[in-house]
Amino acid sequence: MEDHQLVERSRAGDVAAFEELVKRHQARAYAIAYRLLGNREDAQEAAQDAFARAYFALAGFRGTAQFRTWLYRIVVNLSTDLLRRRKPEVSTEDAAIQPVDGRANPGEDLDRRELRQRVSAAVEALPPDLKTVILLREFEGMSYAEIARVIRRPIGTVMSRLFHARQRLQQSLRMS
Amino acid sequence: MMGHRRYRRALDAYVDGELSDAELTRVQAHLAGCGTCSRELQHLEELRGLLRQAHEESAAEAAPALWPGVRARIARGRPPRSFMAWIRGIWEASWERPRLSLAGALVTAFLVLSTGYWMWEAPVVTPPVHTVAVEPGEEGVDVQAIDPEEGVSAMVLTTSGEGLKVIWVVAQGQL
Amino acid sequence: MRRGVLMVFVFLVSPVSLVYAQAIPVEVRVILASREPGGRQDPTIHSLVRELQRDFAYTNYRLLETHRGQVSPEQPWRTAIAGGRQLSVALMRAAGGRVEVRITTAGVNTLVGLQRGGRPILLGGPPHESGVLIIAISAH
Repeated sequence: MEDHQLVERSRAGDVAAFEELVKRHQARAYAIAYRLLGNREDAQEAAQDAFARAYFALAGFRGTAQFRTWLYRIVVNLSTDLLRRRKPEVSTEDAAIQPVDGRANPGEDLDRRELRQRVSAAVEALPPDLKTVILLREFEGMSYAEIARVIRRPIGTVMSRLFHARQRLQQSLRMS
Repeated sequence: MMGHRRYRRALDAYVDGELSDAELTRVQAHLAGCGTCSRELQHLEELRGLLRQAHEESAAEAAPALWPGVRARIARGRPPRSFMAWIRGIWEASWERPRLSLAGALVTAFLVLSTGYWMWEAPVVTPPVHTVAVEPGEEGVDVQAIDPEEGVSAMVLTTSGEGLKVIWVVAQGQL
Repeated sequence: MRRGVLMVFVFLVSPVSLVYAQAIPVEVRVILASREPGGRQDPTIHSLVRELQRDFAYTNYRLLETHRGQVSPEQPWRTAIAGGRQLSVALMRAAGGRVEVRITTAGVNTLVGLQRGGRPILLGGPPHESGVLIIAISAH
């Protein structure tokens, strides 16, 4: 059954249909929340809250956007809300990231796992606005238009944030 | 220099495959003759490669089964929406419609502010039930379809004793 | 013998009606559920209340109104209920002891299967005064 059919049935009160929607989208919803929040408990809470809010808001879901886009918007909003409430924004200066030696070719001479950890840490250290667009672009493979719909900003903002996010990541990883 | 900066900005869209055909041609032509941009493109692609690797290798971070928690939250009822979240919702929604509606949104916000914010803290609307389930084809009562009106949600609940079917109706924003 | 002839005659006159012309009696009970203290329980809704008290946090259940009517395929039944709301019941199908009705009220339009003389379907949630309405609809 297609997503939009499950949505229709869920709107009609079919909780089993909504359960199916949850099962289909829980992995990605959780992944986004986890990337934004950094720990399992918060990610699980944010993802579950997002699905519950989605259920109550189904009556207002126009069906013109994809369910996935709409759901991700709720996840992102809840996660960034949780982030802002938890702690003030961390700037990259505060983050303890050891830059990779710029002269070495990244990928050579470094343990793969260590490199992955550096990359993850660099992403983790981004402020929430920049981190969100990088996640949606690089990890969820969303188009600029879709990202714009998820974060509810114009496409120009998406492009600008991606540009700055990549600049910062390159700086942290000392690639430029 | 100004034109060059514009091309630098376009490189992100280039690696993301977001350029129109015309833009693509222009950027490719520029790259053919610009060493700075070619190098920058290479760095961008390396970064994307690293990010992709990091993503693939951490994709094993398996999501726990969320349904029991979701179900429990649904059973608790619609969560209260804070005033600031509501205002922000109006602000953000205005981006999806023509800019003129922003004025309307601001007027709405002003009216809301002036009527006193405590009125808009919607209390929890609740069917506090223990079980949320639909069993189709059961003898007795079965709910085959529900068609809620605009701005209304409906849930089908089954009580835990005799299994009475309850269609719980929630109108958005109702106090 | 004569009665048999009479029945055959009736059958020939209205060939479709034997199955479809029956009018199904329906009953609607409008209950106010709230957290108000006190209030005496109405014995006619005693079993319903006991059931609802298991799962719902409302402490007070009061029977506000009872409406009775008939539905047939040509004629849906409409009535006004508490809070200025309209309720309508339309008969979609009837076979044996089972009926299928379309109920419209309180912001929803729902298709429900009911057993004649069996359990009611409950529609809850619309706010009313100090609490919410729970509307019990059953077929006899």
